[in-house]
Amino acid sequence: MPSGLFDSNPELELMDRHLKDVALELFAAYDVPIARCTAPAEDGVWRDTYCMASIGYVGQGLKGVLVLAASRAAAEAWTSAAGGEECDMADTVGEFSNMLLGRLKGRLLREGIPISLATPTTVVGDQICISVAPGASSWQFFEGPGWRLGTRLDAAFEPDFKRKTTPAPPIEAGDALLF
Amino acid sequence: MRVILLNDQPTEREAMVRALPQESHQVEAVGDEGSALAAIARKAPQVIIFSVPAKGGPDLARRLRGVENAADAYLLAVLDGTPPAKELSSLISAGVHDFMRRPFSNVELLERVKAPERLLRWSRSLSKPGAFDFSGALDVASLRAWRNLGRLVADDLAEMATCLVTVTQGYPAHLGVEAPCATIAMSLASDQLELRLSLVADPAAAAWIRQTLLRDPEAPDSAMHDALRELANTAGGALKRAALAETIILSTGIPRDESAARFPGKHDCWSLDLSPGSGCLGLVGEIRKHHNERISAEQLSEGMVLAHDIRSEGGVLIVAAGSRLTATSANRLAAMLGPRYFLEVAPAA
Amino acid sequence: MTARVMVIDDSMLVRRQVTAALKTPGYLVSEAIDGVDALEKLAELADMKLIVCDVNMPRMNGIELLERLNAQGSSVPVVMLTTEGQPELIHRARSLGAKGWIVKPFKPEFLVATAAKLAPLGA
Repeated sequence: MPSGLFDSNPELELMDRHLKDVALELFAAYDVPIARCTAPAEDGVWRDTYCMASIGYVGQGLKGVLVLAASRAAAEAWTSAAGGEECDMADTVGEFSNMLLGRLKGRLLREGIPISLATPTTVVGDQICISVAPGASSWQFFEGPGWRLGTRLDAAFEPDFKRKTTPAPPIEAGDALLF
Repeated sequence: MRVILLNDQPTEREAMVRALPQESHQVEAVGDEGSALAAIARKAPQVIIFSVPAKGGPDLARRLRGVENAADAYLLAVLDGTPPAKELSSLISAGVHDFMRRPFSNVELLERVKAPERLLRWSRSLSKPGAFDFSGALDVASLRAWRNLGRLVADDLAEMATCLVTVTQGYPAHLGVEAPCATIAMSLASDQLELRLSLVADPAAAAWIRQTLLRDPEAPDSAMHDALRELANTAGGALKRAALAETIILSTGIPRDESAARFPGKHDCWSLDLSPGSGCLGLVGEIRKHHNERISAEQLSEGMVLAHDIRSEGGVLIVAAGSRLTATSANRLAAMLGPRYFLEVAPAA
Repeated sequence: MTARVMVIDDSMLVRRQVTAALKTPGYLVSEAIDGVDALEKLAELADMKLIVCDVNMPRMNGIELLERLNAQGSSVPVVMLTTEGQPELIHRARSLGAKGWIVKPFKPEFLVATAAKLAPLGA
């Protein structure tokens, strides 16, 4: 992660923080404990990736992609946790990317960053790698029991992007209005 | 996917086994009913494919389905030609889900077996509602207003009582089951949820209510309970207004007395300590599923909450969704709409 | 010099608090427990100068009472005293002629100031 990335991207930092929280939440819902871990060596992500899902999103003045890079062990473990069979692995990784971004959407709505989601695209194979993101992007890595997961959150903000301010309660206890 | 294949024709049986991909199907193929029943009993199958005999097909289906492990299995019956409608109907009544007629191709067999795979994936997702959340249902516990409820209520009480109120998480352990308690229910009819806030007073808090709020240390219990109900109302107001900032509109009920015997239970609880020596209030927040009902306008009554707008024929809004009915409005709507007009309501709390 | 005020609330505590706040400057306060009770009492009490009314009450709520008072051609100013803060409700009350909206728990000085503005003593 480039140093100072979040200095000029407070919104990306916010989104990243929420992404970490929802990732922990989502896997906990499947009784799969995961934890943040350090980034692997530079080419390690792609060497280990067996299945990758990407799902786009767009908001007012903002667009980007969430990428999930899962090892084969991760894809197998999630599929098993979701009660699927081996043939379901690509579907499962796609579904997890969808659920992850869906949960992130709920959090961001309350932060004044409403987004709409596209549908996920999943690829399976060896030595998968993707292009560098056009705007800012941030990787996070998690490990579960015997597997690793990488998430890359890409976000391109328009120059006039502004968070919608969360309205304060319209009226407080003790307030008096005369018409 | 585990498949039990019951077919007394060896050639066809082997051909069917070869047609189902090994990497996705674990097929146990048997030639007689006894072996099929034993195979089912050993390990639950997702699919049972069986050849329908000339006589007794429905009974065979019932026996296969009767094994405990087969309760959720998908039954695919293989038939000769087109039997009469009555027999097909009997097979369906016996628990058969789908049919295949001879001669059939491998492609048809694969397609027929794919259907239960899709259904099973879907039904598994339904059994883990926490993970596959397609419903978009509101998670009240994640609202800022709910998470900060202790502080929100404490601030309003402090305003009312002009004293400091300290908040800690957790139900006050010293509160007895007989402690005075007041509850206010709030409805979220659109999500079929009811939120309940309860306030429980320890003896010192009850004395504080008499002394400070009622300004009468000798005030009777009825007056103290009335005041506690108003405190619950205040708590409800604090939650309502905070929820509004998150675009959640709650319909409020009338506060009433409640028994503290069910607390703490599985609820969100806070301890609100009034200024030193003035006692402590337990604040309990409950989130309940509260399924809506469909009733005729004649059956409307006080306390029910409308789950949808009521509009005139011209589209003019008469009563908005989320409105809590009083006796006045319930009678008015009943008279206006009549017994043949049906509405969805959240039942009275 | 005095003026008569009615407080309508199903909570005895609130009725006491409003009475205590308004008695001090010299108002004469009558009480009702809900909209139905209020209509009956208003029919018998002359010269009401101000109504202070809750929104959520059994039998007939504050908004319904406003509608009834309008229908009767009442000119008594009504101020809502409630825990509600929903803008739609506030607009509805205003469109029905309410003169004010005070959020509970209320500050007594605001209530007194409101009464002084809408129902000045000795007027």
